[in-house]
Amino acid sequence: MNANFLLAPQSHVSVSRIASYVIEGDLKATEIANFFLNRIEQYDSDLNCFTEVDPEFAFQQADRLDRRRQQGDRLGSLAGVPIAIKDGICTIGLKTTAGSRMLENFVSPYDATVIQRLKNADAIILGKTNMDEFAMGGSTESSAFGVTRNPWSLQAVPGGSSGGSAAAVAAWLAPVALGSDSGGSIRQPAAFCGITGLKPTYGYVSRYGLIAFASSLDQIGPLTRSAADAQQILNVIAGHDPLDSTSQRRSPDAACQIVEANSPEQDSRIDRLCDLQDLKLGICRSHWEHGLNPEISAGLKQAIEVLERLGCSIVEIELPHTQFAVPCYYVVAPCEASSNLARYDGVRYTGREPAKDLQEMYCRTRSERFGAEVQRRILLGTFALSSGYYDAYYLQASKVRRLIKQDYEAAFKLCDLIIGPSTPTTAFPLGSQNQDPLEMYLADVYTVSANLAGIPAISIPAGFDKSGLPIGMQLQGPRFGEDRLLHVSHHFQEHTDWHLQWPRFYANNTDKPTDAVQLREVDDNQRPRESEKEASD
Amino acid sequence: MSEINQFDQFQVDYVSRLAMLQFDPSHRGDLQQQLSKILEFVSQLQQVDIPAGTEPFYGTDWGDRLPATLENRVTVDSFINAERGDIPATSLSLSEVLRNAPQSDGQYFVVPPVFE
Repeated sequence: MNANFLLAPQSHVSVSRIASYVIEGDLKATEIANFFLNRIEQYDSDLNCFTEVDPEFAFQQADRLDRRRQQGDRLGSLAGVPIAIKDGICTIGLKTTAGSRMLENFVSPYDATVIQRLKNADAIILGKTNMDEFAMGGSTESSAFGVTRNPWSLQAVPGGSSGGSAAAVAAWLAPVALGSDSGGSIRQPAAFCGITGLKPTYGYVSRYGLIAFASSLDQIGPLTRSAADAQQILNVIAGHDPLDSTSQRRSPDAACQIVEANSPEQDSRIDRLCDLQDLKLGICRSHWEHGLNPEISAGLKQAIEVLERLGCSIVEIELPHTQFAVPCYYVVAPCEASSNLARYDGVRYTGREPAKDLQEMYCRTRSERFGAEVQRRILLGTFALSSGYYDAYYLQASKVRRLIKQDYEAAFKLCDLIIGPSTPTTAFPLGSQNQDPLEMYLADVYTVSANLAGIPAISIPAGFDKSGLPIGMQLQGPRFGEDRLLHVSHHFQEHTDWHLQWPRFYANNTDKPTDAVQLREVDDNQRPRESEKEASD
Repeated sequence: MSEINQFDQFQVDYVSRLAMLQFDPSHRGDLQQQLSKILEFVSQLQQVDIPAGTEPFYGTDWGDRLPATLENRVTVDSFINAERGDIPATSLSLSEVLRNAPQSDGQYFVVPPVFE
C-alpha cells in the first residue's frame, strides 16, 4: 500500500486510521510525512499557512519512528500522525514567533507540555503555523509574516488567530493541527475554513509553553476534520500538569459525573454509538437576532433539525448578559495582555532595537517590533489597570464576567448543551476590516463568553453559504463537558457530510489554485444523507 | 460622553509611558480616536446592574463548592494550593537561557546603560 490513500477527497482519513497503518507496519511514517511535506511544497506558497517547515526535522522524527517500529517497540496512539502547531506554542528545534517581529528569531529552549505529550504519543511535529500577532485578531492579517488565505476562497481570510492551523487542515496540508483560543481563535477559523475546532474547558489542557496572551482565557485545542479526530488529540494533550498552576486535576469522566445533576442515563463516551434521545439542546433567542447573516441562520436551522430527528429536543434558554460579553472581553483580555507582554522589552528574547540607554531600548524595541493591534491592546489594558481607572474598568468587567458565568450555570440546569452560530458572518474578504478595529471585535459575539466562563465549546461544519463559503455551528457545554460536545458532534457528522467537503482544487493533486473564487456548486436539492442512514440503521 | 471615557492627548502620552511605547506625533491623533471609540464601547459595562455582593471572577474559583465525594476531596485540596513543595528541581541551563539573548557575555544578558 502507498500513501495515496491519504488523498481520498470524499471520505475521511482519520487520525486513528493513519496511526493504525503505521503501527501495523502497512505504511511507513516517512511516507506519510513526505506526503504532507509534498503538499505543503505544492500549495503553501499560495496559502501561507506555515511560518516554518523544516522537512529534514519532520523526516528525522518519522525515520526514528520507523526504526523503532522495526525493532518491535510499542508505538503511541498517534504514531506517525503529522501535526501542524500554531506558532504561539513553544517547540524545540523550530522557531516560535507568535506571529511577531518581536520573536522572529526566537527558538524556545523547551517544548510546551502539549508538544511533549504529542511526542510521547509518537506524533510527528510537521511545522509551525501562521497566526495573528500574539493571538490578537480574528483574521491572521496582523501576522508579521504575511496573511494566510482561506483555501475555500483565496480572496477571503481563514479567520484567526489560529488561521494558519485551520487553513492547513482544510487544505489537507496536515491532517490535524493545534491552535489556541482566548476569545474564539480556534472556533472562528474552524468555522471559516469548514473544519472542526474545539476549545477545551479552562484548565483541562496545560498552558505551559503557550506564549501567554490572556492567562485566564487562553486554552490550547485541536483543529481537525472530525470530532473523532479531535477526541483523539484531546486525549493525548489534556490532563493535569504540575507546570501549569491553573491546570485542573480532574479526569474528564469523574468531572462529567460531578457536574451533571440531570444528565441522561447514557454513556457519553464518543466511541459508543448511542442515540441522542432526550438530549436537550438550549437555544438562546437573542443570538439569532444579533445581526446574524440570514444564510447562516437558515443553514443552522436545518442542522438543528437533523439533531432533532436524531432524538434531541430544543429548549429555549436565556443568557441575559450576552450583550456585555464583547465589552467585558475587550477589557479583561487587553488588561491581561498588557501584563503578559511587559516581558518583551528587548532584553532576553532575540528581538532588540539599538539604543543609547535602557529606557530607549525598551521603548524602541516595543514600538518597532509590536504591530498596531498589539500596541492598541497594550495601551487599552494599561489604561484600564491604571490607578483611578482600575475599579471602573477591570474590576467592573470581572464582576460582569461572574454574571456571564452564572448565566451559563443557570442555563445548564435547563439544557445539556447550548447550540448556535459560531460567527455572525462567513469568511470576509482580506483587507476588508482594516479600517475599524471595533468592527472586528463585534464579530466575536458568539465565542468570547465561553472563554470568560471557562467552559468548553466546539465549532463544527454545518453547511455553506451561496458563495460556497463554510458555515460553522457552535456547541457549548458545562465545565468538563467535552465528552458531551464531542459525542453530539460525532453523531451529527455520522449523519451529515459537511465535514467531508473539500475546497475543490485541493482535492485534485494536479491543478494549481487560481486567483478566481472557486465556487462550490450549490445544489438546492443537496441534503445531508441522514435519511438514507436512518433507513439502513 | 463622560470625560472618563475619552482618551485625550495627555492620557495617550501618559499611558504610552506606562506601557513603554512611543509614537510618531503625527499618528497620535488617529490613535487617540481609535482608543476613544473602543473605550466608549467598553464603558457600557458601567451600565450593568451588578447585584450587591457579586464577587469578581478571574478565571478560576479556588475552593469551588463541590459535592463531597472522595474524588472531590482530593481535587478541592489541589485547587486551594497549586504550589509545589520548596524542593530544588531541575531548570534550564545558563547556556539554554542565554541562547536567545540579543547580546550576552556568556554569563549575563548585556544591555545598554541605564543612563547615558
